[in-house]
Amino acid sequence: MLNLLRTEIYKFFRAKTFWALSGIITVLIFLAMFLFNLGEKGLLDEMDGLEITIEYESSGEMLPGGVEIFVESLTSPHVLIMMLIAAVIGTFYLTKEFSLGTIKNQISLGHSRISIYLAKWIVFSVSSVIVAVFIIPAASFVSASLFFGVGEWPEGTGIQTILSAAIILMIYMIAFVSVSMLFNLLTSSTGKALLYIFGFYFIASKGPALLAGRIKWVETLQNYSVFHRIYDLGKLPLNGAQTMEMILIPVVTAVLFIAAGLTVFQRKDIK
Amino acid sequence: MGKYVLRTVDLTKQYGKKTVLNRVNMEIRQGEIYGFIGLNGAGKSTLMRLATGLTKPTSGAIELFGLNQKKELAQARTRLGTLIESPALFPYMTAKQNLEVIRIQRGNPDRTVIDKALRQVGLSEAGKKKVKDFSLGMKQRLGIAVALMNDPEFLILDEPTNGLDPKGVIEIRTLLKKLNKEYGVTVLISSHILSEVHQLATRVGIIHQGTLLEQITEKELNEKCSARLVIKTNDAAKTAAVMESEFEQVNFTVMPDGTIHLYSHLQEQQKISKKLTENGLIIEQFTLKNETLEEYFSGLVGGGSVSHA
Repeated sequence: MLNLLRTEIYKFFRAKTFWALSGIITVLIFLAMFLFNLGEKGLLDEMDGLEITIEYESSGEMLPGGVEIFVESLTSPHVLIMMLIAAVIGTFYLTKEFSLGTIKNQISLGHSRISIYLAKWIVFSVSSVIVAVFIIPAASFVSASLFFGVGEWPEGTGIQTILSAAIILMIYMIAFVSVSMLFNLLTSSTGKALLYIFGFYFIASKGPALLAGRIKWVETLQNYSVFHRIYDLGKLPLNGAQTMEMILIPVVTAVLFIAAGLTVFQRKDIK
Repeated sequence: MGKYVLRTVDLTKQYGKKTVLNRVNMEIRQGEIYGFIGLNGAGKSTLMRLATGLTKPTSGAIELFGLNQKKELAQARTRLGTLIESPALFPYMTAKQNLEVIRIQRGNPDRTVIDKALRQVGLSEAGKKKVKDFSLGMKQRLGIAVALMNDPEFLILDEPTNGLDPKGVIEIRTLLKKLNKEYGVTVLISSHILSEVHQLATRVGIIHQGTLLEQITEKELNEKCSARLVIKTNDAAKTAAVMESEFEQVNFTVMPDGTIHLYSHLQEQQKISKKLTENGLIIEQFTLKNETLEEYFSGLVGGGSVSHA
């Protein structure tokens, strides 16, 4: 297992996926802050008669500083972005192994499929957590600080709240990774894998909302779905029972999808 | 006689209703180079994929190094070196990095195995080149290097000479023979190039439409593919006696069906026929056969054999 883990780390950091994704996200965050900055200076209003008003909901003030953006990136994540991170890393790291056939080298040399799956899951989870919980907040802080200054620590938000948010965000990211991994194993085609992941995401995140008013169990399902509950991060600090519920939902989701993924991988014919 | 390195018992694989491997009983002994011949889709790669655990059998059993339980098989597979269908390589890595992946995976602390494997397949100079810039032949060589990493006891190579130029084919053949002779490595190799298998293999298995038709030794194959006179008379024993008394240093085999396969005196057909007749024998068949491996193979799989009377 340790050899497999070392192999996965070696392969992962030599592939361009992680670096490219981290770079693109950093550049996009920088561009977003740059556009906000232009908006603040009213420069965008002059462009082609465009009228752009940027409001900042939480403070009610125009454009926050680096610290406020950093806090918000941890307490108000967007599921689509988190699924995008999981889908891109999963597809170009895992599904690619099936299309290249390199997965054969691991299985044919006697490694158990459970060990192979878990080694990949660990590296996939850690890398996705690095992007979601470290790179995005760090890039947000640096970019916002460059344009709007460092800013001030938001009132009523303690370090403990931020740490809790970061830890819970990690657990949710791992749940999204486990969801993505199941679909990454179902096909050897990178295009199909992305289609399956986002198809599932839209059905799981938007479907219940459409039916919730009519079918009771769908409403319950939605309430306990990782796609829905992650937004409760913005309600931190929560009491003990609420925090436990927030943690248990992604943990149970991860366990169920890992079990399903392992079942699929154990039975999969490797071409 | 060596121990079995690979043995399959009634090995069957079905995809839906299609049977791609039908109750195959194959045996490969330690120290053999087993050539596996069959048309496209005959079941060669499926058998290799089953042996390496890439797919699971519908029924039947696989035994590797005498072990057949699930956990034992996984342990036995650590002693394999494999190249199945196409070389499995990371295009964005160099040749050395690709081998480093295998070295780490095998838990081998000895880094010299990488240079050794590259040297064995003639890629010493290309170690730092990215695989995406490799030719098909170079990729194939690197795929073989992956299989050779960490001194495997049993090599399973699915069409390893695909894409290689004639020089490359000879080099790989020489390498495999050397590994087999000097290090006792057992080899299972499939190929479409029948002459290639004929030159390399010590035993040959012929598979057609999922059924293993024949397993024969190099000696038996050479006999079957050499020129011979097939004689059938009304009395096989008397014919054999006549041949021995009338011809010096005669070389023949009496087959189970009563025919005599004569490998010597092929230029004396008229004399042979005359002597048999003079001894009161009635000749029912008198045919000169000179099959190549291709013709022999075609005859077995239903493509018709070529014979010269």
